[in-house]
Amino acid sequence: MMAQRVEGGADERDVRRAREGDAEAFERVYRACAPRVHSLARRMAGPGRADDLTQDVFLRAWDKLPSFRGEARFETWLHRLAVNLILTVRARDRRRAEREVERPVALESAPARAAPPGWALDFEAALAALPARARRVFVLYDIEGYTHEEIAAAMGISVGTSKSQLHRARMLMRERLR
Amino acid sequence: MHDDHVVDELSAWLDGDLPPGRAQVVEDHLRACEACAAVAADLTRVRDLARSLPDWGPEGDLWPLIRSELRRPSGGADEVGVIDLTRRLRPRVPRPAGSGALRRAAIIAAVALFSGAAAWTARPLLEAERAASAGAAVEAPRAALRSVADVDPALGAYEDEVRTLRRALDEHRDRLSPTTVRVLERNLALIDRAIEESLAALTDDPGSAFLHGHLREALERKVRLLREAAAAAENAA
Repeated sequence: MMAQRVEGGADERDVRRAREGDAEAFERVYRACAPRVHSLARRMAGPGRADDLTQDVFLRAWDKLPSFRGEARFETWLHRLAVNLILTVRARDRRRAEREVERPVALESAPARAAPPGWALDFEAALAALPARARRVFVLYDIEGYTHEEIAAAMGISVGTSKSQLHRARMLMRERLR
Repeated sequence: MHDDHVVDELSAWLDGDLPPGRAQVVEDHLRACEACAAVAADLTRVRDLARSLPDWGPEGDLWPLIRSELRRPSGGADEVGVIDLTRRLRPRVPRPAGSGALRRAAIIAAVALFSGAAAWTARPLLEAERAASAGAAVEAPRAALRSVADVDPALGAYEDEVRTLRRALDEHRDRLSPTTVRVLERNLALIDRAIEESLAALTDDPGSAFLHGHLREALERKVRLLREAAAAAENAA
């Protein structure tokens, strides 16, 4: 699975030590990777669930680390795990999640964060207001760099649906950012 | 006025998904139609902004919660969430008529016992137990052998029940989702706190029927919760 945004990331030695059970090394891995995982969770599932999902991702990663063989970049492995977990949680709890994602005021309840530039906040606001399916496709394709085939497989939709949802999302983003 | 058919294809065109012939038609149209060209420019900007969107993490620090729930036995010096259960299963010994410090150590050990085996224990309790164990080893090693039964013999039966349920739970706990585990741990931590407070209060007022009743109630809650959790874990395929 391809991910374009793999800048930064965890130190390989820390990943190896965490794999062997070193919790302090895993903390450093967490510190290095949390912004990306949290951003993914926030964009995919909404600000209200991002913290819980981020915790779940890192707990799952800790459990699964012994099976990580280093055949892919750790960040890619972690990202795949995060996407699968987020989509699985959403599928399992779809009705509640849909309400949260579709709720237009969700962004207003997002905690204030330091550092992001103004345009990014505007962009995230427009993103948060997208319909759930279009938003997930947009996040995975335009932000995370997955292909339509990968998105279709992960979300259980057709490639054509993925493409049409992407176009819908881009058009809505265009309207909201003008 | 833009052409809806062309606009509908602009994302595919941007992503290089159109057949060459169709892509040429779209490009020819964009050169002639300002409205459609403006839409194409906007979509390009949306895509480019998405690709350069910065990541940022949670407002608060999630690590303490994550760390308290790490389960995999550690191979390093930092044994997160791991307590040697056998250390708690040694035979009880009569409580020496000791100092307040010894009594506190006994109570802390008793709390640790009822907080259960390793993985489910709240971290502050782990630290308290380690500190108590370390101190007691120098001052009075046998103080760490205390159990709740030493504080209230009528409650001794809960010890075996908790240990049995804990083993059953640990055997299948991987079947529970992290979210379920988190809810369970939070509830156990709350009950443990109630047990700890009751035990601490009983050091000052050992004859209090209210405190004994409160302690019994907390222990019953813990047994009930562990029983339900163990059953859920066992039944979760």
